[in-house]
Amino acid sequence: MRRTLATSFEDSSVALTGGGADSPRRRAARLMPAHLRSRRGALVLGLRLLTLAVVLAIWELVRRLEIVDETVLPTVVDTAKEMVSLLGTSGFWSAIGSTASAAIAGLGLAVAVGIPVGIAIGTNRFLHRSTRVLFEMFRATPYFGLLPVLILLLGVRFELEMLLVASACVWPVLVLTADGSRHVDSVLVDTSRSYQIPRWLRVLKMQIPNASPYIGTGLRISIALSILIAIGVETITQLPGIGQQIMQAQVDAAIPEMYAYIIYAGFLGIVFNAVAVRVEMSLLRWHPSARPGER
Amino acid sequence: MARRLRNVVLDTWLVVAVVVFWWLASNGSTSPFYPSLHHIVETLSTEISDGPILSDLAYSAINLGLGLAISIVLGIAFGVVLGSNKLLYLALSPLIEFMRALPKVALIPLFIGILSLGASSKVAIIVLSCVWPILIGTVDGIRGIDPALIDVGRSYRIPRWLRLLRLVMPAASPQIVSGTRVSLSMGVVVVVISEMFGAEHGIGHYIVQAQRAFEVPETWAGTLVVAAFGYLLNVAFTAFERRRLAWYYESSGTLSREGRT
Repeated sequence: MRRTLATSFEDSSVALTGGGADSPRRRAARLMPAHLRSRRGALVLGLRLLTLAVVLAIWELVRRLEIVDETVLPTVVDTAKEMVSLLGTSGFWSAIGSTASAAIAGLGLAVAVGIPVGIAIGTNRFLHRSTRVLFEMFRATPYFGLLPVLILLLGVRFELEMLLVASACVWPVLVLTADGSRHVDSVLVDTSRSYQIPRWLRVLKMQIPNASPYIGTGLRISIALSILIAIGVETITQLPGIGQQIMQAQVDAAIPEMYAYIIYAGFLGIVFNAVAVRVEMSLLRWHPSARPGER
Repeated sequence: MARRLRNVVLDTWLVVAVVVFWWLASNGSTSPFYPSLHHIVETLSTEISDGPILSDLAYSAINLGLGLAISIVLGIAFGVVLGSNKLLYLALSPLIEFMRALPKVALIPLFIGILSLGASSKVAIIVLSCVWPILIGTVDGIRGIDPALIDVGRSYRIPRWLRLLRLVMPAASPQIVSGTRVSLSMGVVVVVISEMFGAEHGIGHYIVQAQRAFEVPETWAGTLVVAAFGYLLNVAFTAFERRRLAWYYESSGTLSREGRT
């Protein structure tokens, strides 16, 4: 059971970042843009541009050949125009701001709860055993099912969105923090025991640093999750944000605008993912797996 | 024996305590928003015996199963192709990255608009959400295989299809399974959201209908059903994973897969 908890999160982290032949950490340590500088990099860049062109061509073709009509798929040009003109509207920026701030506020709450509780659980065997089943249950709960109940309790407001983001994002952080602070190398533990290092110092200097790579992984999963939950809540509850803009555009039959918002939602997701990888790297800088020279 | 009993108590006392606390704290509650747990459980049992809750759950489960099955087939198929062709993978990776990062819930209105409220829009949105973790897991798994293993297979002139079936797939299976695990939990979320958004059946639909009608105990009952459903799926998948990947956990020994201290 203990292993399943930990590996499931590690595994999901691998799947979420698209780790690779080597771990996501190592790959990120190689610094992504580096491979674009070589000659092979130019080839890859060319291929990627080609991919983009092919995707856009297929999109345009599907539209032009009337395979689907304009109420379903706008033309590429219309969507691009809409994407540009959205940049000049205040509605767009406030939607981005609302979504991002709800996601960040929820994340902050999740971190503020998840890390201390995780450390407490990881450093206390009794707490760990007691909370295991309960937290497994909470973690597996599709947090979105709670939305109607939370609407009844809180009403439709910003706190609702924040709380839902937090309730989804707290588990990866909490469980991985607990795992990390629990699995300290036994040699280290024995050494600290035989030197009679006090418990609080052991927690502070050994268990928390040991947990930091795990916390990094948990954070990365949670950051990616936060934006998904935030937009989902907005879609259903009509709280302001990108989700609501997409809905509104659909109701208004403004299909190019709807596609523009969907594409920006994807960009926002990418930005959050990129920040997540950065955060993880900065928590891992000292770790052997992140130091390029020591592999 | 006593030791086992102690373990069981240690594992479950908090769960029991939470339920008892909820029961006692909500007992005799008159607030319309916090019905007593007693009332919720009563509602749940009548809804199960002659309400729509089970058929709604079955509808969601079937859509989820169908969507996941399609995702697994597509994810593994494309994953194998992309995993064995590095240049192709590099060329397509920004596209995959974009699709993976795109909050799929943003597409729900679009899909329901195109495919109507029925099951097809739900299955489509599940596939679009669940295929990426499996695909990426497959690619990672294949690219992580020890090259020596492939070389041995080659030097024995094992045919390509047999190599794929007997060597590549088993070696990649831990990552494929972990990708599937991510997809599973994502799938449950997506199926519930998409039904809440617009559907004629399904457990998400049930919950949101109850909420709109201010049938608070029914809302809670539906929420508990979803939670139990998610939990049981997770337990079942974990059991499956342990059985199928027992060899992997044994050979990798400890927790650390990535050589952490």
